[in-house]
Amino acid sequence: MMQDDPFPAAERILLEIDAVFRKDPKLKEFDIVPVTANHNKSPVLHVEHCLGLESWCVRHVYCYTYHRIMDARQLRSRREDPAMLARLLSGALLINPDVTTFWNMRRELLQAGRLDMQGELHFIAVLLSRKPKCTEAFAHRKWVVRRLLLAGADKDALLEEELQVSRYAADRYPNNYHAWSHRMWCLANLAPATSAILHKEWAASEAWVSSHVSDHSGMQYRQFLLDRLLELKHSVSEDIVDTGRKSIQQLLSHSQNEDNVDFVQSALIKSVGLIASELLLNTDLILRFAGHEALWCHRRYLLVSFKKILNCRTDMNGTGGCRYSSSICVTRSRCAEKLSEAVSSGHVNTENAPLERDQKLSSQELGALDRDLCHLQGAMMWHEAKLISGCQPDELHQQRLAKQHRKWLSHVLKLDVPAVA
Amino acid sequence: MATLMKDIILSSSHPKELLLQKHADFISSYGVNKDEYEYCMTEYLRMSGVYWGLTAMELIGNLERINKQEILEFIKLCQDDAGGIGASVGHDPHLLYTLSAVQILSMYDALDIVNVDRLVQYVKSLQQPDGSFCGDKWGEVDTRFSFCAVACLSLLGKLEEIDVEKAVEFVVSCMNFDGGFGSRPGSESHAGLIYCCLGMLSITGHLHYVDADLLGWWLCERQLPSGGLNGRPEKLPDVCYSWWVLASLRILGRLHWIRRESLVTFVLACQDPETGGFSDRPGDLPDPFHTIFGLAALSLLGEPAIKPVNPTYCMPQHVVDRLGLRPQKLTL
Repeated sequence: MMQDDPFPAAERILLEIDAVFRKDPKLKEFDIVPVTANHNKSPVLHVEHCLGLESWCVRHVYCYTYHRIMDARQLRSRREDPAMLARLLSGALLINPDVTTFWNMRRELLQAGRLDMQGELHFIAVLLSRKPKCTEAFAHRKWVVRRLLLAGADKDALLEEELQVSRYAADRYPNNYHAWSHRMWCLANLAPATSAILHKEWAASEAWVSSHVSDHSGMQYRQFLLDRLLELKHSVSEDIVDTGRKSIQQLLSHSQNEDNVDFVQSALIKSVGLIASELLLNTDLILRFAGHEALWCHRRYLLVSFKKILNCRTDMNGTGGCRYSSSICVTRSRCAEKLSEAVSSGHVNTENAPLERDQKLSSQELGALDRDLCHLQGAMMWHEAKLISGCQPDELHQQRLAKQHRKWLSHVLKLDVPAVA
Repeated sequence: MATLMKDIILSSSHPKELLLQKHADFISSYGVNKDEYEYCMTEYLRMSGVYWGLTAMELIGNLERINKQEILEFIKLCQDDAGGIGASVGHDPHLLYTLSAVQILSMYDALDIVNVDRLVQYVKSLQQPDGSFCGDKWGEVDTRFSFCAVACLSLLGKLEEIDVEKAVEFVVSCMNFDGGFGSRPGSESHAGLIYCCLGMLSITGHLHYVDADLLGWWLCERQLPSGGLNGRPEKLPDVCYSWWVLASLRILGRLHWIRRESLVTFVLACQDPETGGFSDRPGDLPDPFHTIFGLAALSLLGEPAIKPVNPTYCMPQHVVDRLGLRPQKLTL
């Protein structure tokens, strides 16, 4: 039922909002501005590519749009004018973007060609500035992107835009699950099979996590990238290999092990190097920014990944010529082991071996490789012990995290932490 | 400089006793006191709101204060021609609200109010070739919807209508190195989604895929010095995670791994001593969502004044028993 006394200014306000979107393609933000009294002028503000709506009118505009839309749904025979309906939906969703049904109605308008797809992406981006973790907005975005893909849109341009939007949302709300999920989805669905974009993302993400040391979601995205880099069929960039090589040397040079290990020649240089360099970055961040659980969680991931590489060698070796073969990782690979019986393909059991099977190594070379891995494991654990003992005693929270880490190393990873002098 | 930990500090002014009567009053007056704006702002999740309120009322023995006939009429009106159920009259059907409706009808033993055959067809139609479920016809995939689908069908005794093995396969593909689960393969572990995935595996009897020690470890690390639980690293504690984390630990048979006393103190501190109801954190505004999860958590923690709750379905245990359902639980 229509209300007896609808808010008379509502339609004008909706038209003004619509006009701002039309005339300002660079519009980037929307927010509700706290102005409690009606001063008899328009409550729609437009300054420096930002759209504002004065708070006094919000409840009136929302109730008006809500009832009008619900009425339109009931009177299916007498359809609301699509342009009007689109304006009503824009107004309602800017105020309350959680109403799934209203997004569905926008999808219907898009399907019918009554709304423009690019314009829709712009609308969602602006809406996300106020509600950066809105599930429905991201779901709708994916839907629009899928439609554009089917229509043959330029993938590169789409990817570029989506990466920007998800970064923007991640910047505005910490640990933004949906923003980072969206980014992963885009990389999986829009990125070409080449490695260039992965390298670009890897570098950008290093800068991002270094300035967001509490953001576990951002770090988890980095784990996603690392997995992709490790699985990559092509070789990684010279830069990455070089950093990796130096990181391995740095790790080994700090260990108590006197042996001169020539790991740099190994077939595992790419994967071990990637993990080693990430581990050193993580160590640096933990020491510079004390008391951040996200950093310690990320570290676990790196150590588990390293353990997986050791397992991979022991698997290939069969008997396993090294002491570490008895302490096979209990975490992901155990899951994978259990799952591989039931899951024939997909994400779980495709534990891509970092060492390519067609890479022929003589038994002598394999022996050397195993010896190197043993040394490296020793060096890594020494590094862990050093980190734990190096945490300042006056940093209580950091101390707590370090203690938890030691416990995790021995109980979950099942590796002993050596004593450091 | 000492680092600030993301946690809250409980003061002596927060409630320490369970305010049962106030919670019953809070729920029974919740819909009545709302103004038009609040009603329009929240109608999009009304069906779930009703489920939260009713479950809370039943757990504290006050369900008779709710007008059953009105609720049943409402649900009937929310079923779409395609069989799915929407959040409210005039809203589109969705798995989230379809499950809420089925949970309410199970509690009232009134499943025949809706067209069950069509409802089952609706749920079935949302399964994808990879075993996952979309929340509705628009295609968003999430492990939450896998839980909704199997919970819903099992309550109706129709689990065999979908490809359970494929459904399990998808959920298991969302498992991470820390033992947890995310919304899609490769997504970050999240306590709410872990609950959904464990619930799904519990209903279908596939908990053997889970590394219970590893996941239990992660879940216990959600407990902060205040006693409260968060849902991911470096997030603030929130009463709703008291439920998702605890229910998960209960399903894994590792509930005793948590520091019980301090968690009870935290949950009780989240009660509103004036209006009744629970909020996310002490001192915030209460709502039915946090109220049911606060009460259900206390039930799992052994509060005798609250009826036992089933950790898989978040429904009164006696209802799950009446339906003859035995969702799987692990033991240590």
